[in-house]
Amino acid sequence: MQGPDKLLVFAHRPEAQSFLKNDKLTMVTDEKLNLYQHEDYFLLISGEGILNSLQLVSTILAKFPHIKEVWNLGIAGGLDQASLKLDHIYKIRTCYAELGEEIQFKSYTSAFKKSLFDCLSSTSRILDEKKADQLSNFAPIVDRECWGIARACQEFKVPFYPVKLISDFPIEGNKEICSIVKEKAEIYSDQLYRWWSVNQTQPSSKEEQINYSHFFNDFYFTVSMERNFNKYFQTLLKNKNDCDFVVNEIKNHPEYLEILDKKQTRKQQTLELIDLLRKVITPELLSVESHLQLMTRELKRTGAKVSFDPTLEESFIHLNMKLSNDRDKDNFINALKRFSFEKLNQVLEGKDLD
Amino acid sequence: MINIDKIFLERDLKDSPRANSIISHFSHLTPKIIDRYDEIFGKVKKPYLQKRQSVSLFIANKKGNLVKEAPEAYGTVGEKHFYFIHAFNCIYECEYCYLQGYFHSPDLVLFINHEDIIKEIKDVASQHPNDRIWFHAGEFSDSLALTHLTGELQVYFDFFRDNSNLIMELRTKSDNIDSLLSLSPVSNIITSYSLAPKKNLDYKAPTIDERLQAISRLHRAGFPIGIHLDPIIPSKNFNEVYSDLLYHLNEAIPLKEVQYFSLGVTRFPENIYHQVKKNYPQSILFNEHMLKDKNGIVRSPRPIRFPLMENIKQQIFDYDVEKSKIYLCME
Ligand code: SF4
Repeated sequence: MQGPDKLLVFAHRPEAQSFLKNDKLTMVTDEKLNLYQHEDYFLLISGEGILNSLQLVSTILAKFPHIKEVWNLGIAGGLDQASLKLDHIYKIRTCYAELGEEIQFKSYTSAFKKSLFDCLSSTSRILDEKKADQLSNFAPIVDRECWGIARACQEFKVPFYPVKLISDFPIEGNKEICSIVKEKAEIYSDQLYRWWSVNQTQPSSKEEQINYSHFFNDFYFTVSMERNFNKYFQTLLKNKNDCDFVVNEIKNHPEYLEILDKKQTRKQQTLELIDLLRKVITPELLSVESHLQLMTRELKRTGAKVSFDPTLEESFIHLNMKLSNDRDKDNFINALKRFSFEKLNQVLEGKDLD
Repeated sequence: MINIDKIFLERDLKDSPRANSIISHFSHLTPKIIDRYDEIFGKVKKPYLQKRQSVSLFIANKKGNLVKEAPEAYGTVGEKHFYFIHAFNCIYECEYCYLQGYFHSPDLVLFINHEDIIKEIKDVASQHPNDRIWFHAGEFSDSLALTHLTGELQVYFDFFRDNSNLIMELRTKSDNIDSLLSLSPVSNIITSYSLAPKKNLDYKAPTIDERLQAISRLHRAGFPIGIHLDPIIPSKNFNEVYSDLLYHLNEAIPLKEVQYFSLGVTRFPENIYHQVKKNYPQSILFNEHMLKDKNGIVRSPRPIRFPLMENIKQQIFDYDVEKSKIYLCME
């Protein structure tokens, strides 16, 4: 089943009530989830807690891979009275977490990169003053699920937009979040709904991944080959600024036809194409390669397999050779005598490459 | 100037005049007292680019190793090099900065137990009585950018003035030099500037022109100057770009009078390379082909970078600079 491409996540139904009511959402009946649908968005009631939200949002994102953005709207506690105002709504920049008593190193940055407010999701519900003070070292806002949703979004590479309404300052020893939600739930939900109606359109934060491999239809690309190919192609594009020019430069390169003509596996062929792009980016490497070829021609004629440090940092030669008789041995020794390490060093230092 | 949103102060430093002097520059903030900076700093991964909005400032005492041996090929050849740590992170933002993958946080930490650092410098020096030893500041921060707040220069000047066999290097890109100029120059304290042609890779750091002006003022006041041409970035008109830079540098300070030049081509440990790519995916740093060597350092291959360094070397020699004054960094 297809459907809208936005997912709104609420921890509690009362927080979502204005959305359910005003937009007349219908329940998605074939799911064993608290999932509702409107023509513009899905709405999920995830229940409280990091693990709940992580699990449920992951399930939805796996089931509806076309979802392009996830929002988390809800109330949260404020830990810093100097920078936050009660009943105000804040976009969350980075999500942190405390699981059990452990602050988690891993954090997730939302699509609101320019916001100034971070949120820490805590597994413990009641915050005493000491605890709240300790958590405020990491973020000024505390909730119970944001990090879990952010994590699911990261795994599925979907942009995440968390928005929190400050309902209380637990540091003051106010009532628990749950009872506050009950008392003022309708007001909060209305506030969130109004905010959402105005702010729901966000510029897409997902970078458009352009694929250039289709210019080279003769080649077969695995996913990782395509990624590598696009990486090098984009580098060339940055240098030359014109896509047609880059395509022609590659297709008119003398090695291009050789690659097409060579009898080899399709994968190997594509690897050689990627290697060609690399060489076009840095033509000096081509020159290094041809010098190394020239230097080892004689050794190769004796049947030796020759290779150099692939990173071109160290001056060594690696030889693999089967010697069957004295003539093989003499030919090999003579060729080896003529190999010059002085010349190898010069080539590796980029001297006299022209 | 970077925006500070919070100050954390270690409990032991509550009554420290040095700490309070720093705090007095942020009168709108009340410091939060904590036991140790590392209970908070580095405990969570804080995105590096948040420094564009604001960072927290920690004022702390550094425990553990205060002076560390520098890696091979870090400084002039044939001498011993150490660096000391009196700060973490930097108020500037450069695309190639390796700090972006180092601390997992852009927050600033200022260590103010300079006397302990000096004591450790003495200990290290006593273990190498016959060597000329260098102590570098600015490995994890810019060594001048905040000196108007931190005021530690006097302590180091007093020590190194009395220990002329030891050399201190202040690595910087800053034109915040008034604190330095208020002191008398000491021949074994070298202020070294990192310069690269204008490429828009340094945000917030003083421009090349501002740095050249700072170099000129310091030179005229008698402060020894070193130059790091680092990072060297390949470009089409490489020769002209560096010829231009050296011409202007020579106007700020005759190149013959520069204490040393270090040359280094852009390089990253692998994890930092990935972090830079994440933070600046469109950077011109990635226009070139780079390879990872066996030590996990990602950089231009040797046949590409050596001719670049050779080119600059020759251009410096054209200003009658002694060969021994040039070294290649991390080569
Ligand atoms: S000045 Fe140095 S330490 Fe500061 S951001 Fe730039 S490279 Fe990093």
